[in-house]
Amino acid sequence: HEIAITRYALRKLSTVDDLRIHGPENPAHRGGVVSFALADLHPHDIGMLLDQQGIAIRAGHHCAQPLMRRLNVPATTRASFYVYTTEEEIDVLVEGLGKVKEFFGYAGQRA
Amino acid sequence: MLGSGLDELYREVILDHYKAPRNRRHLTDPACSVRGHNPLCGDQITLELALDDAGRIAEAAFSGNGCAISQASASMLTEAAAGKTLDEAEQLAEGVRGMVMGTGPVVGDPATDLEALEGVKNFAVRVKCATLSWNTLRQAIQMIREGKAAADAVIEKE
Repeated sequence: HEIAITRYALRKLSTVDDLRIHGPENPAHRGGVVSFALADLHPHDIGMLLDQQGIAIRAGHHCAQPLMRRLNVPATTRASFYVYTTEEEIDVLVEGLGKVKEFFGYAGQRA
Repeated sequence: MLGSGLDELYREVILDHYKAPRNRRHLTDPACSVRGHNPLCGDQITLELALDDAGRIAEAAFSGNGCAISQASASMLTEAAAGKTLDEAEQLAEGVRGMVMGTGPVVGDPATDLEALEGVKNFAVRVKCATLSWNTLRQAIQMIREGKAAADAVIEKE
């Protein structure tokens, strides 16, 4: 289920403009997590606005500062999935990301 | 749109400073340049100050990247600091610290809407974002007083 839901998430997240997914595209090469960057917004801002919409993600270094330096980002936003995650919840995340972009002025883009 | 809670934090004027920051540039001949960094979250600000003949801050400018709160706070700082003596700027920095930590009164400045940062006091996790540039300013003032031109400091204190 984890691979399937990650595959679904990767597919849906890649439809969001200005969203860059870190790491392999093949869900079999990842665990049930997706770290990403959204435009040039800081993960703390993204995390706070998603939290307001009832969506919980992790923001920051994820105890992996060397990787942050390698990716050349100050921090990332990370969504994780488990046996209880549904496709509907992924859709809510994607929609939520759209609202985050709108809030910070990235209007008129597909989310 | 996203609930009245966050409207307190991301007030209109803060978003404005984030989207259109003032004095996001480099000065031609700064008296000092100080880098402040929040190692726990990745916000960073480099502050440059130029002084006039009377020793007042003639201009302040910043560069860096980080979250909306840290960048907006730095932008407002550059507007508020210009024209102040080092003592006045230091006092203002302490006032802003108290305001965003909720331990002091709301402070304002005629040059910019500093009181908009008051909302930060209800979001403890973002206090360091708001104070980063102001702590950097205090460091810069200290450097100037000690006669040092530049510093690269990791500044983080609550």
